[in-house]
Amino acid sequence: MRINPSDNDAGTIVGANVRLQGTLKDTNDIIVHGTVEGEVISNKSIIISESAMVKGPIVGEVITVGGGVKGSIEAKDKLEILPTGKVNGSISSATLIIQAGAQFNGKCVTTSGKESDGDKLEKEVKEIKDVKEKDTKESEPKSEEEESNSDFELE
Amino acid sequence: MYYYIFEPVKNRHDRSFQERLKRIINTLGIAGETVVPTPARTIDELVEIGLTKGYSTIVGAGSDLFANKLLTSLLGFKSEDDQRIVIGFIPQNPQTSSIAQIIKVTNAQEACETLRYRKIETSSVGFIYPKKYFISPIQLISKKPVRISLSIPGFEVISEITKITIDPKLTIAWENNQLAPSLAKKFIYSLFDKELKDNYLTIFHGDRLILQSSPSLPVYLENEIISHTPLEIKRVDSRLHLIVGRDNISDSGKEN
Repeated sequence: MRINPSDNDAGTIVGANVRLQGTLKDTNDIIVHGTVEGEVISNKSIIISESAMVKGPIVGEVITVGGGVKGSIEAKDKLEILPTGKVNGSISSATLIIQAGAQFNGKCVTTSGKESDGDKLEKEVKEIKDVKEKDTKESEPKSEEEESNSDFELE
Repeated sequence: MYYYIFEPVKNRHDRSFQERLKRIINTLGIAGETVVPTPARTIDELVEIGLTKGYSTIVGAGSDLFANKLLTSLLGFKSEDDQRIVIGFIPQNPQTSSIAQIIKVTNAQEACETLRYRKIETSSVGFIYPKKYFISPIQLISKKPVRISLSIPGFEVISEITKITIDPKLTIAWENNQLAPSLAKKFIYSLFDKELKDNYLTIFHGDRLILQSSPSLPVYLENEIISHTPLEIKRVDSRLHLIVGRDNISDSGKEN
């Protein structure tokens, strides 16, 4: 088979008979058919196929899981767990699809990517409270002990 | 002025190719000094003579294997800071030549015209320690599956393979023919108009890699053995100033 591997935009493919240890990082797509013990990080999409097993965190833009994952998954845009997918670990994504038959055991956080109005309001309230507490502490009269400990010279 | 290093003639076909080449070069007005390696004068010595004489363009004419030997010789003499030296190639068999694809030519006439127009691009080359450069893909082939270990900064991979192809940009592709779908299976799937995926193809990218195998495998470049595993390879960027073909503008006005 004549392979033309000179296209650097092709991304990374981990074959079904491959065992990889370490951090697999690529700016392009990553497709995993084999076993990865470590991180899988991509700026684009990650596909964990049915025959794949990943033990470690996965971080990508769009992640599709059809195989086994033991570790956290963070998808900036979309995470889809296929009917053959098995995930043990926390997941975080803006859009989440778990198909019928998929197995998932862990914590789930959905993110919007943008700050909601509710979150903004909460932040403002907290900031006001912090400022008020600080002002209150400064304006409180000092106790007798604090006065005696302050620097004071008697002539 | 051009310094042409022709591959030694092996048969009548080679001789007629070189005679035709010399006519084209003269017609295009890019004639220069022409030399041929002999047992008395090796490629290294001829390259050294050309550089000593002050030629800034060295052109190799012949097979891809010869071109890669010339490349190793030239880059061995050329320092990294030296922007003067430019290399050109005239592939003998452009239809099957990987170098013809790199310099974007389809025949000898086009290759000579690219020398005349002198469009120069910097190109990456592969470097096999301790001292071999390559611009054509190298391959490791075994009839039976062989256990290999590939170390790329950041991770290590273990697998059994029958074939590995590494290009000068260090894209590594490997497969195990015994696990890949057979031709019969592919045919049956095609009868039912179904796509049969090959899950045993692996592709990696790297700047540097170390490849080990058990047992040791030969490394082929154009059917000639140039090294053996264990192998350490790195990509050398912008090391080669290469004369390439101009972009073609088709009838539709779009640039190819």
